[in-house]
Amino acid sequence: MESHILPPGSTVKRWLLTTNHKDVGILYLVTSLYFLVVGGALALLFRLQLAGPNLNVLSPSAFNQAVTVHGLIMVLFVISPLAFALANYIVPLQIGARDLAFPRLNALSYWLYLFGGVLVVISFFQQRTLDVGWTLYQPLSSAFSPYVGVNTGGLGLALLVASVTVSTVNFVVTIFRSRAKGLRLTALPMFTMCILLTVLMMLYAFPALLAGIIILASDRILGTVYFSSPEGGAILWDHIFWFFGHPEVYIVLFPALGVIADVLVTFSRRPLFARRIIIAAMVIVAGLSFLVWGHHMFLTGMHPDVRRAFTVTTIAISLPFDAIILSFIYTLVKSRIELKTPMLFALGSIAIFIIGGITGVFLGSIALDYVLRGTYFVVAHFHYTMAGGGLVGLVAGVYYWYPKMTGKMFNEKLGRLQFILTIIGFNMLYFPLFLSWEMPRRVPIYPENLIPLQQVATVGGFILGASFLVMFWNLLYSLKYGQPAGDNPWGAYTLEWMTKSPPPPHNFDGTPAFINGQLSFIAANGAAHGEPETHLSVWPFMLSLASFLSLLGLTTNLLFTLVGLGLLAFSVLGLAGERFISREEKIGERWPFESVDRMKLAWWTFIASEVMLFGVVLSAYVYVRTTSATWPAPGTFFDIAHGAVNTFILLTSSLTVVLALASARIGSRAGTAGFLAATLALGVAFLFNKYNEWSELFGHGITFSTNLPASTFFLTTGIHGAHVFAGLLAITYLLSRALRGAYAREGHETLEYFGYYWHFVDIVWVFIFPLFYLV
Amino acid sequence: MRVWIYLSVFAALVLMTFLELMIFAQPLPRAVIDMSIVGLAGGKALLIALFFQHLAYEPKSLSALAILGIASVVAFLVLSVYSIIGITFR
Amino acid sequence: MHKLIGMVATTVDIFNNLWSVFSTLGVIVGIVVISYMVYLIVRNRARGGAPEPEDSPKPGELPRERKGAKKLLLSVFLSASIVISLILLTFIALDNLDRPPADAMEVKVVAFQWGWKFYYPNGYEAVGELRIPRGTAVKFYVTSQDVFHNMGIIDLRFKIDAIPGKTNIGWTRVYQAGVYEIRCFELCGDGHGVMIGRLIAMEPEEFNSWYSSLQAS
Repeated sequence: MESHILPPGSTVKRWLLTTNHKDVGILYLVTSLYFLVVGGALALLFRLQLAGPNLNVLSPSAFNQAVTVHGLIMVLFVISPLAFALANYIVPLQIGARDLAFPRLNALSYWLYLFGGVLVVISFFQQRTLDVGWTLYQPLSSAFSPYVGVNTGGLGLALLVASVTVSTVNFVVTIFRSRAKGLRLTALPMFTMCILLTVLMMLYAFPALLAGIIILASDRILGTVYFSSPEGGAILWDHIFWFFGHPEVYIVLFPALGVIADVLVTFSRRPLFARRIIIAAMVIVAGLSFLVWGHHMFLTGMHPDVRRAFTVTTIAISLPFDAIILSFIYTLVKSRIELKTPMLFALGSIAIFIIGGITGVFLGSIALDYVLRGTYFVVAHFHYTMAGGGLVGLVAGVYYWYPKMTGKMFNEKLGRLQFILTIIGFNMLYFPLFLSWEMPRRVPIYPENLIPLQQVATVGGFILGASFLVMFWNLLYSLKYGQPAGDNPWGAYTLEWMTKSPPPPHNFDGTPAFINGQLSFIAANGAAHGEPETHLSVWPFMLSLASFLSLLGLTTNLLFTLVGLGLLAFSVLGLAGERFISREEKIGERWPFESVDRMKLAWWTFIASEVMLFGVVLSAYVYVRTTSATWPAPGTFFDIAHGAVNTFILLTSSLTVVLALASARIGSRAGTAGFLAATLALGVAFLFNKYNEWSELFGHGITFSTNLPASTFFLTTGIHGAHVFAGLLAITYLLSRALRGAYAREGHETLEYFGYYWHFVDIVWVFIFPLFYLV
Repeated sequence: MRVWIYLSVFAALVLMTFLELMIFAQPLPRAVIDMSIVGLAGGKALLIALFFQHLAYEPKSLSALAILGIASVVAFLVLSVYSIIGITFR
Repeated sequence: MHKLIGMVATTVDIFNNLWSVFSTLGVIVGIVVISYMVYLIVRNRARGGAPEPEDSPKPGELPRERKGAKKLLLSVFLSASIVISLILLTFIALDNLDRPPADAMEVKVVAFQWGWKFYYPNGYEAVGELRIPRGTAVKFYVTSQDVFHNMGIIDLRFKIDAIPGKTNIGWTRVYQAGVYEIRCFELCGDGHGVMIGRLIAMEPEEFNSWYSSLQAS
């Protein structure tokens, strides 16, 4: 009935403009598999170099580039996006929603991801791309790496972080607000449960990476000296990166655990063993993941108390994993196992992950880590966990849901063939690396006694690569020649199987609800809804293209940046002014946010990520102050008067924002517009005063690179100032509408949402002022 | 109407800022000054969050989103700074 | 390997003892768990006509709960006790690693792109090659003049980060005269793979005559 609202799948228009979660899922799937080929090809390149002890397939620099970009692409552009391909398609179906909460933002996430990847690929053609290891250790990747390709690649990562932030907000709101009636949070299918925990980890982890990238870009482009100062800058990066990096390991892994749990139940025909304990264990892991990062830094020489604390948390986090994996295994007791392809991959992934988990205990033991650090043992370990637990688990998901996505059944024989090749190739590739534990990582040459191990690994790498070619062939071949799959080919119990394969644009005929624990569909009264929902918008693509051009210009030709910024403004206005209809269901399970509408929840989720961003930037400031022996006394370096004046200006502007809201509530057009105009004026005054302050400092010869006090001041207040500037653009837009009478009649919530942002920026200044000027 | 709340919160914020500036000029030990000033900043932030951002009137679950972030930041700050205490950098 | 009677433990002994415990237990646990899983799969594989388990989830249901907390907690308790005893062993080993022997010879190491500089107690500077007397412990003060490096002498099971702006302390002891490779274990640029130095353990008499002939620079 509604199918006419989407152009046919054979048209370019459909794929450029679609905002439907299933289409976006397919886009994610195809793109992540494309990057899998890129990352895999890079891996095979350096496996060729390592086929002999002293070959010259790659120059040392090319080798480092291949290793670095392989790591970044696989972790950030393949495994997580593959997980979100499945999440995009499946999560709304599993919870009985018609789409994600914000369909256009979902498309935006995808396009930002794609363009981020394009930037990384472009960096290959700028002499040298990132060649500093995926961990980007300092100061190698700042002061000692002058190549422009590193900038481009880094900006590509920044776009990816933007994409992740947007989709995090979207999934948090969707899973909390769009669940079918009766689907309590604890009754979520395990895949959706794992995606929820994943996005919550992303919410708090990725802003740390963003903070790190911003500081790094500022060091590289503006000349600040955070990481190149000898005063602990190198270790500061370690802290920031691994504070993001360790949760990231679980971010990569959790979606696969969710796939495995769902697949296990479906193909063993038994409920998950001790399901509630698994969920509890996962929640514990997600929380603890923010307290273990120091184990990546045991050798940096940290305070013994902190080292001890990190050891304890690291051991502690292994125990919930024991519970999860053992429950998975116990699920098989007295079951009836059908070894179809998805089940084979799920079981294979568990077995591989067990080996990764056990070797993780080795690395958690500081005394062993002292010796194993920086060797192939580490490489083998994290491939057994992230590639084995993560990627192989997700392959199970691709096969499991392929019939749902396409309506066709894949070829079982080819699926099994791929499984055999994957298991053989994987273990031939990575197991010898455990045995090469005396060899440093990331070196292109090695002693002759390692030749057999390294050659077996190279052969294994090619077998693993071939296994994925079999999969691609299977997916493409079955799309055309596969048998019709039917709605529920596996006899699964979860909601995504209770609709057609592939599902219609609105997913379900009728509104799904669980009444007394049993699914029923409440008849849709489509006419009462009025206009049909929208599924197409050009702005997500345009916005992403604009961001891409703006960033590309920074490292190539500033003309691109100018065009990009113009297009960006145009697209934001386009997006804001577009009539796009996406309704929330009237009924649903929404604990614990029943009384919080989805926009409010979205804003607060976004604010939480901003809390992390500024929190890490301010922590970095406190950190460098602690390391520095020569910090100027408070009140001597920066002019307190400027800071105090700006404090009063911002506090007043917060007052005018709430007064504008109060005016709108009582329907006063003049009051609304007047207080908004006052806010605008105060914001401009703030930036003007800031401009004067900076000019005075520059006049005294104090620049970004003078010293740490100057670097931290300019960057921290600069990031804050940029937030004020963005706020002013928003106020200008709000004011222009308020002058035409908006908000006073209806829609005053918009002012409330804007207030969340503006007051948050105010709060940040409330901390910046004393931290920089007074203490 | 909430206007009088907004106005009194604003008055408190201005007052606390003056207090910060006054404490700064007192002949007190550095640590006492620093702690009271940062403490006052925390108080100001809380007032803004509770009354301007209306968290005081929202379900606690909404505040939890921000509180989880603050808790992670505190963990990051404490552990990373503690890890270098007593270490001399060049 | 170097456990000769009357000799003090070396970094090699400390590591090897711990490694053998971990790898033995690791292999056993791995084999037991994976075999158990394979056993369950083989045993419960669906054969024609095998009945559905009674509690199999039905389409359109909410997830069913399946008891097992006791069994699971017992298993986790078991693995927890293994892991915790391993960590206690680790702390004992760490204690030894943290305490350099008092009689150690002190050497300052400065890593650079791409090599090693060594400063002897008398101020003599050597690049790429460090000579020490066998049997005497050596205490390293390690830093870097440019980027993050890691000084590793894998045959001695010794490793320490070389970080610009910061000095880290570590020690090792060699009983066997010979040449040991010093390599960088942290990616540090194009020359990372060839950032190789040599540690030469000499007979004490030989070392002494060489050392006393040095001109401090």
